[in-house]
Order: sequence, then C-alpha cells, then structure tokens
Amino acid sequence: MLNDTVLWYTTRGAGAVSLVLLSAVVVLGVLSSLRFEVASWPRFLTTGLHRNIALTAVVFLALHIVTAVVDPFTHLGWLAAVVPFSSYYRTFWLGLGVIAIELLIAITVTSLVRAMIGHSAWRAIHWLSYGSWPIAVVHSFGTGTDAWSAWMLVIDVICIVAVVGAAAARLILRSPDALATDRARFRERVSRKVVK
Amino acid sequence: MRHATLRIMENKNATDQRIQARDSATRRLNRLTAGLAFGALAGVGILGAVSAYTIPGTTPTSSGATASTGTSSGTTSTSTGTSSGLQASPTPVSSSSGSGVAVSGGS
Amino acid sequence: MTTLSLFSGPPSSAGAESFRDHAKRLGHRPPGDRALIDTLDRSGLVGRGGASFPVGVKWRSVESRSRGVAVVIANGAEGEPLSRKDRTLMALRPHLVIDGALLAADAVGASRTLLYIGEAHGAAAVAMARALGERPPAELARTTLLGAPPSYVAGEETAAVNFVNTGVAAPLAVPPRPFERGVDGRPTLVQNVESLAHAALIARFGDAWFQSLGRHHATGTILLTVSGAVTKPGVIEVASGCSVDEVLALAGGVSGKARAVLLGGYFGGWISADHAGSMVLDPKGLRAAGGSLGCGVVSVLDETADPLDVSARILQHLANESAAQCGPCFFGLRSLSAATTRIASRQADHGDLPQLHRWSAMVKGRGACRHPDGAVAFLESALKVFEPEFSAAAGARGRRAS
Repeated sequence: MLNDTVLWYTTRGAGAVSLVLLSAVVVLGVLSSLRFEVASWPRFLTTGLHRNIALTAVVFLALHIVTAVVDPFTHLGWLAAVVPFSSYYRTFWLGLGVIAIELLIAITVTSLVRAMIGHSAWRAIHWLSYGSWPIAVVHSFGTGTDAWSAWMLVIDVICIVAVVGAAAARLILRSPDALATDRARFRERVSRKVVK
Repeated sequence: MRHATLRIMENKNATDQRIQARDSATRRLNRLTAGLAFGALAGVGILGAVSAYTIPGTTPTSSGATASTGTSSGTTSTSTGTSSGLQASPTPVSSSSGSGVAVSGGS
Repeated sequence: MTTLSLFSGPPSSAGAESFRDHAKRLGHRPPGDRALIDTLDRSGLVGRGGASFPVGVKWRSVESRSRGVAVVIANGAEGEPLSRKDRTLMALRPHLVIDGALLAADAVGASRTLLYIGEAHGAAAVAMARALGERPPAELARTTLLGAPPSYVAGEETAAVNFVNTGVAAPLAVPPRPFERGVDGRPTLVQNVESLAHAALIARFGDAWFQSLGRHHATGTILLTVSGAVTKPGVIEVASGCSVDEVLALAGGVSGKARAVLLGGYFGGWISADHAGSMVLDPKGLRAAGGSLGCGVVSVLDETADPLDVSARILQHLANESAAQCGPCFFGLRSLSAATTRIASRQADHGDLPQLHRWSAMVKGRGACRHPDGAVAFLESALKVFEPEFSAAAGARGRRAS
C-alpha cells in the first residue's frame, strides 16, 4: 500500500539525505582540487568517492522529486519539477530547488561526457557547483517542512560548516601538484629557445 | 647505463607503494560507496520517520498510524526497522541506486 | 627491385636538389584544389608520421572548416629516435616537401604554411631553409620555417600546434582536434613531410600512377629507416606491399642471426624473426589489420643482443619523454620502465612480471594523448615476443633465493 503520507515523509527524508550527499560531494570535490593526499588516503579515493556519491545523490534527488510530484497531497505536477518558479506552491523556494537540480544535471552530464566536450568546457561548467549547492541549501530552508526543526538544523549546520570550511581551505591553500616540477622540467625542454 | 639502472632501483619502492595503495584504494572505494548508498537509503527511512514524528500536526489525518509505525521502527533498530517501516519506497530506490553506483560508478 | 619515386632523380651523393633542377625534372607545381583531394582519396595515400590516417580524408576535414584562413604545418619534427627518413627526405628533396605543403595549403584554403623541422636535424634544416630561399617571393611570403624542439612528443600534432601557439611543444588534451581548432584557433592541417612529398608527386602524375608503384593491393612507395643488425643501415625507398625480407636484402642482408625485428619504432612493436620475414609492408593494410607501420622504422635485433635490455632502454626513454601532464602516464610508465629494467638486469622481484601485465592494462587510455598507449603497446609486444627471456629473467632471482 502506497500511503500518501509515506510519500510525504520520503520526500522530506530524501531531501535531507540529498543535502548531506551533495555537501559531501562538494567537500570531496574541493579536496580533489586541492590534491589532498596522505598515504592511507590516495587522491584517487577522493575523486572516486566524489563521483560515486554524486551519482548516488542524483538517485536520491530523483527520489526526492518523484515522491514530491506523485504525492497527491501537494498536487505539484511534473511541470513544477522542470520549469523554475512555475509551481503554485511556495513558488520561489521550490523554484530554487528546480534551478539547483538543473545545474546539477548539467554538471553531472558534462562530467560523464567529459572526454567528448574537452577539459576546459567541462571545467567551466563544473564551477556551477558553487552555485548549485548554495541554491539547494536556500531551497531547503525555504521550502522544507522540517526546515526549522532541530534535527534538520543540526544537519544544515554540519553541511554548511563542512562546505564553507572546505571552500575556505581551497582559497587559503594552494594546491600542491605532484607533477609540477617534472612538468616544468619537461616544458622547459620542449620550449622555444630565445635566440638573441 | 649501470648508473641509470641504479637510480631507477631507488625509485622502485616509492612507485610500488603508489600502485599498491591504488589497488587497496579501489577496493576501499567500492566498499565505501556501497556503504554510503545503503547508509543514505537508511537515512531516508530514519529522517522520514523523524520528520513524521517531529511535526505530526502538519501531516494529513492518517498520519498518526504511519507516524507511530515510523517512530517505533526508528527507535528500536535502524536498518531492519526502516526497511519494514517503509516497505513501499525502498524497493525502486535500491534497484536504481544499485545500477547508478555499482555499474557506471566503478572504474 | 627498388622502386623510386621520392628519391628518383639525382643520387643522394648530389645532396639537396636545387629549385631549378627540381622544376626542370618534374615541371611546375600543379594547382592545389578540391579535385586534388579527390585524387588523394583515390590514390590510397595514408599519413607517414605514424598514424597511417588517410591523407585525403584529413585534408577534406580541414578544407570543409577552412573559410580560407586555415593553417598547414609540414611536420618534420621526427622525434622518433630510430627514424631518419624525414630528415633524409628534407635534406635531399626539400622542394618536394615545400611543393606538397603549398599544394596542401591551396587545397584546404590555408593562408599560412609552417615548416616545422627538428632543430637537431642540421642538414635537413639547412637544406629546407636554402630551398625556401630559392622560391618565388610570393611563396616565401606565406611560408615560415620553425625549429621543433628535440623531443619525442614534439612531433605529436597537438604538441606541434601548441608549440606554434604558446612556444611549448607539450601535447594537449583533445578535443578539439587541430583540424577543428589549431593554430590561433584556426583549422590546422598537421601533415608529415613524407606524406606531403608523396602528395606533390600524386598531384603531378595522378592516382593511377601512385597505385601502380605498389605491389598487390598496396599503393605507392614508402620511406623506411633500416637499422640494427644489417650490413648497410640507412634510409631506403621501397614499393609498399613488399616483404620485410626484401627490405633486409636491400639493406645488405642481416649481419649475424636475427632474433626479432622492431617495426614502427618506439611506438611500434617487436615481431619475432620467424614471422617478420614474410610480413608485407603496407601502411594501409597493416592499419586495417590493427597493426601499424608507424613511421617506417625497421630495426633488426641480433640474436647475441639482450632483447630485455634493449626493450628496457626503449621503455625508459619513453617514460622520460612523458610530458608529466597526466599521472597515469608519468607514474605508470615510470613503474613499467623500472620493473622492466629490474627484470632486464636480472634483479626482478617476485611480482614484477605479473605486475607488468597488470599495470599495462591500468595505464592504457588514461592519458590526454596517446603517449602512454604507444609505450604500453611496445611493452606488450616485447612481453609476447620475448616471453621465454622474460620468464627466465623474472624467475632467475627467485630461484637463487629459494
């Protein structure tokens, strides 16, 4: 029996879980751009988890959206899930969620076809992550039924502290590059010699 | 030639460790991913239950019965309790998350 | 037995052919237009830089995007350590190369032509510079001579484009490919100098003539650099479709007894001497069969030489030539090279040989360019052809220890 209240709880649970997953994805993404690495945690693990959790997050966001749309109580309809600010219900806050997920879809799809579109285009689009995540957080505050309940606030605080901390680390630390010296040496060797 | 060979020998341990670390990391990545996916699934159940419990007034009239089911399952035991409490929704999720993570996610 | 087309005319002892002699012998350069691209298609000419890609297809891909602003790079970087054919061709027939480059420029609608020549190839660079000076001012004005750094990857086409754009001959992640966006963002044709010289002759004598030069179904001639255990090593021109045995006979025969032949150079592969002799040298056919003639290197390994040592040194060179842009290429090739060197010096660890196989699979396809793939293909051929030697050497230390 598919009880409509079960759908409603699932929407909320999946939304909160998605926020946690997305925050983890952002933190791991920042860590990989910092080329964070210790002996017991190779860089490959960061990038691998970043990708795997991102794909998991997409699945849970799908659950979040599908359960919200099919929930007979809200009567949201599919259009509201696709077109930003088209929903009658909490138009602005729900619209933010739609924008966040559409940015995320762009980021995910371009990552999956990175070999086809080239590194620079992929990188440019990947910067949208820094837009998608805050929009998702604002969406959770504005539209979440549970937004101001204590447990959700605890989750919010943990996520925000983690992401802001990681972003700050990225701004402060310069990313060490294991290949930098060797690359510089090679490039020097194959560079045009300036003859006076 | 001898000297070149010797120099490479010195690099050997570092590169070997790198490769071995990668091997174990691959296994660890798969374990972590699977664990996180199941954890997230359980999280949906737990948080769904918690949300039902914390704000019962905002849900429709039938919420009382479901909320109590969710609550008891949430408090007694986590993994088994949630899957029985939210029977309907986990089924489609576990299949889709399984394919999304294990197949396309694996390197 | 020999079939000459690029090297017909004065003997090699006469040095570079002058513009006057070149024009007298072959007539003036015919027009380069779309019809020439069709002729190249029919001729079956494939690129001679290593990839054996059909030349007509490549020119058309640039021509269709050109809008008259494309760029042509005549690639004479020749970074392959075992190859001499490009510098020999440029030193002896510079005007054929320039003709080919200008024909390509006309056919694809290019406004600039760059002659990208290995700066270490002294005689070739001098001959090309001198030849360019003999050309009419109009041709001189749209042609630039450019020295390529002495590095294996400098001849890779994205590296050539990168060098022109930024002064650094490091390969770039693709796409966009040079034919889409190359020098200054313009569609760019990067073509090996031998391919261009062939095109210059096909433009004059037609596709049927070019086809008639080859044996069986192969078309045209090929330049080969024969080295190793042969009596007369050097650059020779042969009809494509001839066998390795015929090539070795032209090079004065094998001195001693051959163990294996390295075909295609550092990016090619070993073929055991038993199979090599009857092998047919046809760039197009080899490509269709999944192999490659590479840049035309044929190097004979004597039975008295240590194949493991030779292979280890080649791998070490390739590892050192990694541009250090991609981790799998830089660290992977290093690990492969180190393990191979340990086996070759009979100091292998127990797991070295199995690890070579495993790591090879891990490195393949993980770089921005094909450098790691080429190195791994070479290693895999060595592991296959020298399997007995590898097994014996890898086990040698373990047996001593136990």
